[in-house]
Amino acid sequence: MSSSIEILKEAFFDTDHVLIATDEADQYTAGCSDNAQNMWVKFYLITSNSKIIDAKYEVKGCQYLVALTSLFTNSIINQDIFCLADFDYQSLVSLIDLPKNRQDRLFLLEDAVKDCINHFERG
Amino acid sequence: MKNKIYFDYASTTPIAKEVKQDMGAALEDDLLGNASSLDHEFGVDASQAIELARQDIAELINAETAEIIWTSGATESNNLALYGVCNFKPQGQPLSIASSYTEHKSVIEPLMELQRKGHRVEFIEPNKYGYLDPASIAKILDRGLDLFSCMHVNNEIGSVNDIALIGSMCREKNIIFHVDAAQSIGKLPVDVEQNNIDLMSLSAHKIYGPKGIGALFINQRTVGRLQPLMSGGGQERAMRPGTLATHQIIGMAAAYRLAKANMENDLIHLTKCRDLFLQLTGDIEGLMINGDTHNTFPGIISISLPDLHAESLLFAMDKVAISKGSACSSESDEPSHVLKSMGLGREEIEGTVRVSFGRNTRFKEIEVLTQSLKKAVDHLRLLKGGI
Repeated sequence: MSSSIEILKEAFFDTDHVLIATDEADQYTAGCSDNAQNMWVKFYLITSNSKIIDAKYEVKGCQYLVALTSLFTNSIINQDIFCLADFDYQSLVSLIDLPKNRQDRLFLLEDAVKDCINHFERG
Repeated sequence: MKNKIYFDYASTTPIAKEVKQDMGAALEDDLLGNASSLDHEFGVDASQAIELARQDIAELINAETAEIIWTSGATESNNLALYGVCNFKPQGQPLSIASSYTEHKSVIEPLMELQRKGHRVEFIEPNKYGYLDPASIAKILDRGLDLFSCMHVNNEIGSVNDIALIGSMCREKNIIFHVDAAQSIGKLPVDVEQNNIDLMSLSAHKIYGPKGIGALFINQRTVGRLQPLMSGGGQERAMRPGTLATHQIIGMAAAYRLAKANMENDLIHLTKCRDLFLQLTGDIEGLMINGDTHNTFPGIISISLPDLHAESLLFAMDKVAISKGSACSSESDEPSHVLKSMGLGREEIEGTVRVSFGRNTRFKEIEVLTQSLKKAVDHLRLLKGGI
């Protein structure tokens, strides 16, 4: 059983789902959000029907935002895109022991996901 | 033992071996006495040890021993200097005070409180390098001030104010000159006589001494007395009552003696550290050095990577201990008031980290630091799509 700090570090340094130059960004359904502290998240999803078959991200922000984005992206592959609207963001809080004064990072995730769903619905 | 290399000497320094030895000896039973209890030899011995320590502090800054008042550190010294001058004046007589936006919070917050109490307080902007221009100081001194307060070396960027020049300008106009020397004492030469300083705040833990002890220099000829912050004892000429912490004071004196002996070599070493750091980081795209190449204390370097987030940069550098902005404000999300006053934008401030070197820093460690920084920058840039 990994400790929350180990999970935080592992997720922070994990780049498996980071969008890279060779990925064709226009193949993905994208969604993004930002805040006043110059942090931002972008999600890129490939779906088959409404099932997410691949997910990528780009992120700029504190270590918690990076780790949350990485953990979230890993957990949504093979899920239905419409189920994301009900995603339990609080499960990520305990996983990395997210400090109270950093919990606003979850709003960035949530807003980027909503943006993705909107783009998906609009085709 | 933490497995990180320490690069946060501006925040605090490790206690020097010689200081620990002297403090250890002071904690033995021989000096168990209360320095105010002069009815027996225990108290007398403690008192004598404290007076010898006071002499070491005075010698470093060319002051008289009677001009040194022990405090708990530079924060208390700053508070005592500012409130002490203002509260010593008869009630209802507002003073005119000026300082700068680059000061430590322990100067800015008391001044804001004094302003709320009716004193006239003005803050001046530094130039883009973070130090005060003589022209802007002359302008504000011409308005007829009672007190001018500024720091010698800035804790966030290492910029150095010309205290000799400011001191002469203040003395000419009979303005009380307070210097916050927390970051410079023992690192750069300071002569209170030559620099026309009236009040000066001193720290121990920034120069390999213990935490929890400091001092305030009070020029006997020009200031003489201050209104104490506390009451309840006559210690320190009633300006700072309370039983003196013998072992802390002895530790501070040992650190000051060491600083006096090593100052020149320390400065040469820190300059080499800075030069090596700048040389090894010269190829990092977008890296900005905050401050000047002149008027800078070489032990502190503030760097900005405006496209990155400082907190994640620190997290990614898992082999080294550096700080985001200044340690005093690193718990807060508020952007640094110092960098803001220098005209840096929000992104530049959010991407700022401070590296500070010390007597124990090795060149090999700086190589590890710069490698770690480059690796962190590459990782964070990859996360944001290589932009």
